[in-house]
Amino acid sequence: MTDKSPWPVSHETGTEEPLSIRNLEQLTVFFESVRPRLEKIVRFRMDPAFQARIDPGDVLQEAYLQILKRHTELLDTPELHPMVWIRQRVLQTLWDLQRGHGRDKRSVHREHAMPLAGSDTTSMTMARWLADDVTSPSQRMLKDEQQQRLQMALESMHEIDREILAMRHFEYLSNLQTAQALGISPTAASNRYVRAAVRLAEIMQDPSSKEPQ
Amino acid sequence: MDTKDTGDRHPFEKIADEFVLQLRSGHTPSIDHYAEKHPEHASMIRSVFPSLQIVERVSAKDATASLASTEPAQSQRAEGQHGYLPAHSHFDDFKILRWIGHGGMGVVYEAIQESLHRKVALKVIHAQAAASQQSKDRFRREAQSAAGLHHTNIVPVYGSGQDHGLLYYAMQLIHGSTLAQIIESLQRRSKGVLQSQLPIDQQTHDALDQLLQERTIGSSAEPKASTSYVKENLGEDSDRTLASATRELTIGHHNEPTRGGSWTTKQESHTPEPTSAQQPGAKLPKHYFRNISRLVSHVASALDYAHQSGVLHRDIKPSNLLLDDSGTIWVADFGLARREDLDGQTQTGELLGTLRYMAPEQFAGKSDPRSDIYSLGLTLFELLTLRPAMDSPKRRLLDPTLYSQVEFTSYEKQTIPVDLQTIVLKAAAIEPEKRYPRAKLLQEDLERFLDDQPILARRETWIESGIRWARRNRAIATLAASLFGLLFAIAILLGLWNAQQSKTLEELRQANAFSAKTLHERTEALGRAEIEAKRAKQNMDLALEAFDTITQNISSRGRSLEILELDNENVDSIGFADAVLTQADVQLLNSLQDFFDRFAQENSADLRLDAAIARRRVGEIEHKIGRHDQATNSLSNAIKEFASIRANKDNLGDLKKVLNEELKARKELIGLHARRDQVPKAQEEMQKLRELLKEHPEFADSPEGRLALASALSSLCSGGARLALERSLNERRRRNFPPFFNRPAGNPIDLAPPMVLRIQRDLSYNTEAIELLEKLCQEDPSQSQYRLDLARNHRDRMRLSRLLGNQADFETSLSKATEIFQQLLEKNPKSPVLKYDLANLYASSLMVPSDDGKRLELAIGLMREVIEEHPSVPEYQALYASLLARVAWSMPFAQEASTERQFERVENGIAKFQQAISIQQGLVDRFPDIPLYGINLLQIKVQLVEFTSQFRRPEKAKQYLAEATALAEKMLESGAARQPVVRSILERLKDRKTALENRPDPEKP
Repeated sequence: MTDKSPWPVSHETGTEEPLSIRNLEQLTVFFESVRPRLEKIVRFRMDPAFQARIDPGDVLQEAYLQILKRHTELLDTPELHPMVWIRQRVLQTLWDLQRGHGRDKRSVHREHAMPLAGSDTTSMTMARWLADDVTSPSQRMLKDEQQQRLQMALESMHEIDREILAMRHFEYLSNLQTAQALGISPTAASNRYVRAAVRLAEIMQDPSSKEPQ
Repeated sequence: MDTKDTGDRHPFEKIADEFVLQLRSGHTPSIDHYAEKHPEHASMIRSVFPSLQIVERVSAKDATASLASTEPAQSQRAEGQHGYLPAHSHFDDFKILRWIGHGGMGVVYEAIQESLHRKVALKVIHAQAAASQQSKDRFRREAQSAAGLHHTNIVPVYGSGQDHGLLYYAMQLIHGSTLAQIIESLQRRSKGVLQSQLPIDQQTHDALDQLLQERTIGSSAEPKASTSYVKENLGEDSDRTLASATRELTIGHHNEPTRGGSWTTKQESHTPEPTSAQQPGAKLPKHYFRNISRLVSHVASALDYAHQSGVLHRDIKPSNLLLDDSGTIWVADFGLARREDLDGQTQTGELLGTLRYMAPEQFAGKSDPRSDIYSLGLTLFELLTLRPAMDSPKRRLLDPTLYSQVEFTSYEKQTIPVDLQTIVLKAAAIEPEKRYPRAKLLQEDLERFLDDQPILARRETWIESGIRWARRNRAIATLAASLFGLLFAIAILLGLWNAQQSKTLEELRQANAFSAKTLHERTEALGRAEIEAKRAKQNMDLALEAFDTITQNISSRGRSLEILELDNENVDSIGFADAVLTQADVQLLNSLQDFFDRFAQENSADLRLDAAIARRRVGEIEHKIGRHDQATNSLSNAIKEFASIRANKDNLGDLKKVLNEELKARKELIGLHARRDQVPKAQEEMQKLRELLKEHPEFADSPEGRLALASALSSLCSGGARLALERSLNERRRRNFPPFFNRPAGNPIDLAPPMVLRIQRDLSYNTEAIELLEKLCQEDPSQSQYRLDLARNHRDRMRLSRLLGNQADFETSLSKATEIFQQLLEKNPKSPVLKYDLANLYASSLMVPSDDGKRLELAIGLMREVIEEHPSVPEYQALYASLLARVAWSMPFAQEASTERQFERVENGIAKFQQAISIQQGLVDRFPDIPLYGINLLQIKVQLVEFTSQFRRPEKAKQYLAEATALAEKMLESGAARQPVVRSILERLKDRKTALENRPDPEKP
């Protein structure tokens, strides 16, 4: 554990994040303030196949341009948390880059409907990250095997629950932000988070015995 | 906002959130404390919080890692070097007002030139911080010469400069849309999207309107100078419109306008009603073609003016052509084409945009006015067809001359005015000399088209006749044409081609081009089908011959690496086929396979043998790229086809050739089975081959027949030897023998009895092959091929004997192989292949570090010579690296045993390893997609770990272990190929780690 965390401590109470953004300047300041978090999100969401080729910094740069162009969208919907909106732009940019890589940038089929959150990657990445860490002597199995099991277990969870876990713990979104990003009510997000956390704890305590249902 | 959210949250989630936030702020909250504080959730807290702790730790680990790595980038940004933020409010005389857009080179701002009080578009070139002063100066010179251009259709450049370390230039602001945006809108329109549902920006809409209307646009030539406008919409960023448009499209399909309500929900989109053609998918109206012809003719006139003034544009493409509100077309960014020396970073996607319109010769760094004409031709093509002329710009990198041909579809041929098609084909001809020599002539032809006069451009007659010819002989014509492109693409990709080989290929290509040309001329003159067929056949032969050269090159690459693998004991079960092929190779081989597939299906009588050969080649390629089942299939089919050709008694003259080709197919099939460990099948095929030879005793007695038999035998036994070796290695590793050096032959590896039997059987095949080859050598000592094959068979024998522990046989084979290689080398003292073969032989003959030092030295010497002459051949470097590693192992075994010296020798060994690692690392950097190199690198690193731990350098061993582990993990994570191998190495590293940690306090040297 690091001594000093680079992350906003109290996102839920909202003192460090502006609750509403009224102009482009505020948006820019906000974007810069959450840049490390966005980079983390990009790294988490990036298809591993692209990790060597796409730099998170470039994704953010590209996303920033999109944000500048579309910022009125945000100003017009004050009820949406800016973090949620920016995150969407960033992820959209990331997907566009991943799709466009090796293909024509201006393909007509560029924009697909926004998937839930690239969820096939979610369980894989989560499993990979977790498997990297869990190497206690009692679990001396091969890391990749472990990763596979974790991944299978994660895949057995409800898609939304899994996304909630990912957003809360790997993207550092608050409950409200998570709810908005998924388009569900904060209450539902909160309840689902509890369900998912319990399930996760089961998986992590004994990854070998939990086969996907 | 957030307060809303505190109400209805699950109480446990709130507690968990608090816990997690404490963790993130660097505290270590006690789970017990939480459980006590919230007794109603105690059990959940105790069961869930530990996992949350782990998850947070994992998550934070990545976060800090990333933070460290992005810091420099952030400080760079702070200095405004990336330039996407208007970090500076002024650039000299220009005050930034707002951001407009960004293009390939930089960001464009609307700015005001304060001294003159005029609005301008200011383009700030990005990422040129690293550019040399020289290239900056050149940029400025070129911007200045562009500023000297005054033409109705060229966006005036007001000036350029450098401020805050950034280059910029100012130009007139144009109020309009780029042709790229217009094309996009039209694409959507022709895809059936109702205009009303698209959020097109107003300018594009207006422009579209102009183009589709029946009035003439762009005909007024009045200069717009002083009254010109604001806002230039730079091209590359029209993604957004497209993006949102597509989303709108989806919604639009659900909400038919007629169903009410949906119209009003689309407030954000304009509801343009561009005149006539409202029907989805409607054809482009006739006046559209006329309008764009006029626009393009104006661009051509602008280009011609610039060319006459000595300025090239270099980057003509739809997004650099702006259509303003009054219907005037403007060429932007003159002479400012994306320049590599200015912009070292390759930005995702943007280069591709430019690649698409580049003339083929520009890939080679040449450009002249005709290159601009080519790009304009492609632009016209895109305007006519609403699709890019080159659908895969990246492939153009492979071979620009091949992938630069524009082609209209048959539908387009019917709907687009023929004259315009002809103009496009001439402007965008691959060879510069076939294009319009001046933009002026292009402009005039377009004007003739507009005046309904006959255009001057003519499709060259041989093309026309060629088309007629090709219709009759479609398969041959298209195949022969596409084959040569592929050959070149391969040649480029192989990167191994020495000058001689590429010269041969170039000669072949010229011969082909020449014969194709004569063919077409003759065709036109005589129109006689037989001659065509004969020529085509000759072309085909040439093509096949060239193909042979290519595949031989690939296979020799494969072979040498395969040998290397055989010798490199630590290479785990690397699959045979694809280890040495890069992704690009596989792609090309796939296309070649398609080629031969199609060819093989073309079953016309006189091409039957060629078709069968082609089928065999398909099999060989499939074998190479690891499609074993298909390979088996193709080879069997080829064999059948050969057999049926033989059955046809009319072809007796060719019998020998047919047999020869058939035997090659059979040999390949035998090798395939043997390497897949399907011994019975391999033997069955061998039996068939022998029977075939029996049926043709004359051929069987001929040198060709015997050579064929010998090579079939050796491919039968080399597969087996390889497998046996692999298995014994696994065994040996389990027993923890010192790595790398082969076991003394006197102490055979414990092989399972079936394996011993198999090796013995292989030995008997080997004996037979050697006998055949020895006889052949006696009969015709001048044939180096026989002797080379013989030496290689002796080498196989040496390996087999070593496995069986037959020391005498081992030594005999070693000395025989050595002798032949040395003789051959005397005759061809420069041949790198022979030196490589010999070094390789030495390398695989090493037994005991102390005894075989001499051969090792010789091998190293040979490889040094080879590398000196051919420094870039990867196989040579790989062998050299592996030899260095062996030298390292031999170091500590020198005769003297004083501790001091011992210490020094181990240090020297480590140095050798590091040298080997850096060579291998170089290979990995150069060929990131050849898995073998990555694994070799890992193997050498593992050896270094073994070496240092064996020779009591536990601290170093731990350090190298960490490095090797990190590399292996990185390889796993990056999804590199050969995961199982890497995993098993990783497993070994873990064992080694445990061993190191458990070792009772080692002696320090």
